[in-house]
Amino acid sequence: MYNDVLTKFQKDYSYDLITECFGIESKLYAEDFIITKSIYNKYIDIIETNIDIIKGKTVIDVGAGSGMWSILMLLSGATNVIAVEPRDYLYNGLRNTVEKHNLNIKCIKGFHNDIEGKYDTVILSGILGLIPERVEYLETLGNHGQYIFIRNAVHNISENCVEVNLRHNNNYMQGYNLKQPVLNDLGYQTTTTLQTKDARIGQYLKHKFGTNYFYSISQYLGYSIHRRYIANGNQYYVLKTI
Amino acid sequence: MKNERLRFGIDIKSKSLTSISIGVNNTNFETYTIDAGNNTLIYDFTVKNGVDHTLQIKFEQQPINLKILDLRIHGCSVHDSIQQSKFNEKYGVLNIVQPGTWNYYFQTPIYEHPIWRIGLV
Repeated sequence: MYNDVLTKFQKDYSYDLITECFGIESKLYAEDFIITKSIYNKYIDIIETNIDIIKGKTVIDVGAGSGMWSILMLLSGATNVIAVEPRDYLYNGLRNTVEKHNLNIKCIKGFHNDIEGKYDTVILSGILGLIPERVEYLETLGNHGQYIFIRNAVHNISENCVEVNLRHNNNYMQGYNLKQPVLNDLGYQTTTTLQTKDARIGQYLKHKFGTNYFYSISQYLGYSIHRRYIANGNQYYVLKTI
Repeated sequence: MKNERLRFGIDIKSKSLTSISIGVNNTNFETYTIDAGNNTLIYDFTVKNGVDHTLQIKFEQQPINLKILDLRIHGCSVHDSIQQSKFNEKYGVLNIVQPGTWNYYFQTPIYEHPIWRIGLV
């Protein structure tokens, strides 16, 4: 065990969260779940380094996945957490766990554009690169949060993504930059790969904002960079919107 | 190396009643009865050493007309990596129409796998 928060998560919540999200087939993993070095490092990089924007703050976790990090942020002192996740099984798994343990987490089934209200901190952990209109999206977040936490930013996340035509419920639509496992979970079928991704959005941003474009984007939006660091192969930004 | 307990979930669609055997690394084979229609099989295996492993499904009982729909580890689908499995190149990897062994290659530890480790973390 590495610290009290991770110990409490493993002891009190991990079994229920895993089995609620992934079902009976995850029972062995849930029973054997341990806090690994990589989980501890991620905890340091996401939460402990940013405790000033989490502890005593209202936090919205956009693209919460299973909600493990939403729970860890709550255990680390966030006053309340809103977890937004579109995938049914993850949303239901977290919601059931939250209800069982009476946690102060509000679960919302939805996408990144489905957030409402104002919070102290918006968490975008590993999802910004999945959003094609990412500059415009960051601009809208100025209405929702004082701080925007970004794990893996604009330019390095998209290697596994494709721009595709999607078929869902017999309707065809255009989709961008969604990782294939997420598409599968959401019930989409990939029908046509138009181009392997990265290139277009990345080149557009570089063309518009220059090589150091994340800094330029922040300037463009009128935000300041509260914190910026690289740890364990991931890039982290914390923007201050006001 | 710490032992790692794995649970596989396999969805198979069959056109007839038949039986198959599931094992890992040519060991611990268990036999399952497959009904006509959709079947979900659960197979547990404990990895005690090594990194590279092969999940194997043996199809020996005729007639064979099966399709492997999905493979999960700890409840998480392996998604497109199922296409990297091998059965018989002539007949494709997921539609099984003749006796043989279907192989799916995976690496442990699963919980640290960089590509499709369990979605929790």
